[in-house]
Amino acid sequence: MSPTRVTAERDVALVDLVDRLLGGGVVIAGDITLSVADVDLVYVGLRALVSSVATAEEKGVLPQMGDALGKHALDSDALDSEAFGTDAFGDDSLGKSAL
Amino acid sequence: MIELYAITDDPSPPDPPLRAVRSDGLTALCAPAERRQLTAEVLWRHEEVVEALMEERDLLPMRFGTLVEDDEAAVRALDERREELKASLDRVRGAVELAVRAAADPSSDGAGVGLSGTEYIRAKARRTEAAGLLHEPLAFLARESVVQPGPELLRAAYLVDRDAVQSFVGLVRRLQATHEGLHILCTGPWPPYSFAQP
Amino acid sequence: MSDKVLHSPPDLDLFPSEHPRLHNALSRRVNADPESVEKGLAQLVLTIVELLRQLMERQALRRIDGGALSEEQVERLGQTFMELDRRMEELREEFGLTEEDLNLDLGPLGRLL
Repeated sequence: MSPTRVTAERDVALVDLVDRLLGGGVVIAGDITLSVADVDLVYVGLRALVSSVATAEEKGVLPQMGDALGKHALDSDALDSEAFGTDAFGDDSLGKSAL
Repeated sequence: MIELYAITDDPSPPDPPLRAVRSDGLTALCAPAERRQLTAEVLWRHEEVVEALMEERDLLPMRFGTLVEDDEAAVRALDERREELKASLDRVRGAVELAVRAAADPSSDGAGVGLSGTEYIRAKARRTEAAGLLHEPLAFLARESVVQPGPELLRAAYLVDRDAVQSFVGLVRRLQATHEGLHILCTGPWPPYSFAQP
Repeated sequence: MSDKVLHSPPDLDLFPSEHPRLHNALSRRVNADPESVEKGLAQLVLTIVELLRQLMERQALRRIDGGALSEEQVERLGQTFMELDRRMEELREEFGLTEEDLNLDLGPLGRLL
């Protein structure tokens, strides 16, 4: 293998290395990047997280996402109105009980 | 401060400068913490240490940069999550981690501007299908697997028995030969980083 | 360090060789930094949006596979999702977040994405 190829392979393996060392492994301290005002957000239930998006939209924190989420472009019969009910979660790893 | 490299239930002592801090069957493999810049070379060197340990014993690798005050703190860390750690050690016993990433041919990728909505959706459907065609057989060969988010067509980690690594790589090769429009990258063996937490 | 690559394609350029997380970690300041609090919020919000986007896309694909939609509807859905995909990427870049950053750990519920 040429020296350039060796270097290229090592560089490409760097992505796998960093993913693992900085994103995997046993964690003692817990994920602190999501701490806000000392509230542990990591274990907040899914319902609360979903409703926080609606609030963020109302407050203009996500001004552009309303249209991008297709409120105007999508037909009401193109998407099941129960999209976030049993249909969407039916065979999803989150499971019906997650909601 | 001491740095934790890995946790194991294997009693054999590590080579210096690593030390074993023990608590009732569990061992934290540690060394004095050093001030370092975070660079790729530092990460590779850290990885070398963990992999050398892994050659002699099954272990759970720590996330990089895990520092504790002293030996007592290390013992507390072990005691506080004893059951989780024991379960994780059983989970990875005799196995290593292999990483797989797959990219589609740039020409067949639905990423261009001026794509019609229909072309975009169809390309998405094809990509999802292709990712599945790769992942399913690999997952079947592995003890466990996890598909991870990332820009690639497929990014996944597989927990593979140590003596099944060659078979796994052989399967990757065969899948590559079967799917010419896909470019598969497989790296490893890694310590079981993606299977170390419950 | 022995070579980690077990199998590689001829063209390695298809795979990135830098890692945004390493880049971020190198430039990250102390956690009390208000910028990182804002980034934490952005991370939370964008994760939810990404979850919803994926759910809707999956739902749409199911509908399309089932043959329930007209060509026009498929086209419109595709345009919308393409746009949404693009917007998400822009937002992620704006906050310096990678796709992996949006994979929240929900504890007992497992990972979000």
